[in-house]
Amino acid sequence: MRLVTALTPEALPLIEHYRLEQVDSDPLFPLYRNDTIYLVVSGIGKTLAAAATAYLHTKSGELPNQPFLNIGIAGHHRSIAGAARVANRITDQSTGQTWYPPQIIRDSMERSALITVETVEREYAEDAAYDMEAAGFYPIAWRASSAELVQSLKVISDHPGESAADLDLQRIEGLIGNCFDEIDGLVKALQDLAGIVVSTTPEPYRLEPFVERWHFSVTQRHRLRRVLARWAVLAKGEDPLTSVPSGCPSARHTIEALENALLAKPLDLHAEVARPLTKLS
Amino acid sequence: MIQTIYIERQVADHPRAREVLARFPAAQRIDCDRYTEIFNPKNQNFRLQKQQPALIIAHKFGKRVLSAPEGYGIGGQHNYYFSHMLNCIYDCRYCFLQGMYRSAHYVLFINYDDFFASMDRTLANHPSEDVWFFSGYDCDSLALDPVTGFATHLLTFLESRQRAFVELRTKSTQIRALLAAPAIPNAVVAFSLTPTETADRFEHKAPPIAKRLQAMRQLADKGWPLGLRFDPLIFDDAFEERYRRLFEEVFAALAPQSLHSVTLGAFRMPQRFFRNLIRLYPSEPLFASPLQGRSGLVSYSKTREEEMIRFCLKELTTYVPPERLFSCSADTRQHGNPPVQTLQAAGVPKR
Repeated sequence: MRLVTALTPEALPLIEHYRLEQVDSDPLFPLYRNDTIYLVVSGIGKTLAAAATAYLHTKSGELPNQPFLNIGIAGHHRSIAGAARVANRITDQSTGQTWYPPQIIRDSMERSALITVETVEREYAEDAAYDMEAAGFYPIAWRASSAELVQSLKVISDHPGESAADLDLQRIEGLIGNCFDEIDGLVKALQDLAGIVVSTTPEPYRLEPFVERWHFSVTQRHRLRRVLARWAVLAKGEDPLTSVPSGCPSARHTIEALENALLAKPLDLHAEVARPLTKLS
Repeated sequence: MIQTIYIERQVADHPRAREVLARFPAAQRIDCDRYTEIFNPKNQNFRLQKQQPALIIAHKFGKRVLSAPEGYGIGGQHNYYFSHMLNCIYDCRYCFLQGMYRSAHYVLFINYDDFFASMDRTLANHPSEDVWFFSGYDCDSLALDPVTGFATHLLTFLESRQRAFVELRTKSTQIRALLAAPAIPNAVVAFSLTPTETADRFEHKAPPIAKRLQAMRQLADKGWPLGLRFDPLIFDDAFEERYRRLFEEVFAALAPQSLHSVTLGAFRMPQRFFRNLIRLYPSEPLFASPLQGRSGLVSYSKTREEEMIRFCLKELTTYVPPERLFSCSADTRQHGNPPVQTLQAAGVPKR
């Protein structure tokens, strides 16, 4: 899980609840983590949000299909201070560019359009939330992950009758802290969603035992990778090397031996998926 | 249940759009300029979106009726297809839509009249000749019909156009609109069927085979011409036993004279779509089973495919006159590179 906030007071309730620890002593952006969650504090504005999101992705190992959540305060056209809203449309006011974070999590949370502005909003003209980061965060996180796993949750802090100028750091921390249950619900839902992708990927067999014994061209390496991926699904945990004759003369013959061994195996499409014997290191 | 509805601003006041919206009062509504903003962007995961697909209400621009590939058809000479919807409410693991589209959201084009106008123009291009229009390539023709009401509009259109023949391809039991209307000879309701175990295993959220057969009987009793679509044929070690049982089950429920046509086609898919499917479902044994790349498609080996088709044709000829049987053979398929939308369908004439 990767979390992005603009301000330290927005991050503090999350750091406390998830028991996050600061990663570096002198980082480009303040970065915190535990075993499963990373959090970065970007500073105000979409440019910093974009840069911090990229930094977070890099510092957390550039893993694919990781959930990203932007959390922070926002203004709103309606007088709903203290309410949490998940963005269903993010618009960069300065460029007009719009993104639609897929709405596939079943929960009872309210949704809202979200407009990212360059300076603090005072008009709140549209029936939408107004922030200063989401349009920087979203396209970078989307590029690093999958659209469904990238969301933005805003806690409404100001509206036409209550200016953002009245906000102090303690009030911001309180607003986020009071919505922690909703935030945590969304964090868990996103983690579950990401788990669907990650947990169903069988760990492939290693190529090394093969490439150390035979010379594989680039094309042959692709074929080997594919046949070993099939092996991980169909061959019930058998070591593929045992199906290659010890005197096998070439990479081509090796691939053919593996393919023929798979062809000879019983094919019951209703059987349980096999677990691989060896893992990719 | 649909929880999110995107709607193009230009169709927001369309009466049909309002009807659809009224059916889902609890759904959140999100306005957009074009459906492509939601449907087309990269880095979407079809599998994750299948958890909770949204509905997108849109206007179809451009070509609404397209030529079917040469040689395609179920006996007709002029063959076209159209899609008033993209995507399907079912989640069949073998479906090529998963590999073709980036999004699993359902797109509904509500300018039905424009589709019908396009069909009229197509008919005018073939004066005095029959023309076939195939629905159900990019969607299930009937599965969402209680929401879209498309079938009723289509049947009204067809009633006064005896030269226009339509195939409605479905796995659904949403046949109320058909049962409420008098049967017409120029609309064939074609049901896709696989053996019960295969359907249970791969056709998630689709009605069981027994329910589909029940729906077919109801339609047959009302006089609707029916089609059987054994496509895709899925191979495993129990292939012959499973399909023999399926055919027995089908023809115990249906009188052969109620059938307009029966088509067969082995599992096949463009290689690019297949690669996408493996990425989505890396543990799926179907995609790890013995398949080969041939002419830009992934399919069973030519020998295996011919054996599968031959077996099924032999079994089916004990029930169905040969002139109503059509199959998709590897040889015919290799002639060209048909539009990807058509590759799920069988129906290349056997002769």
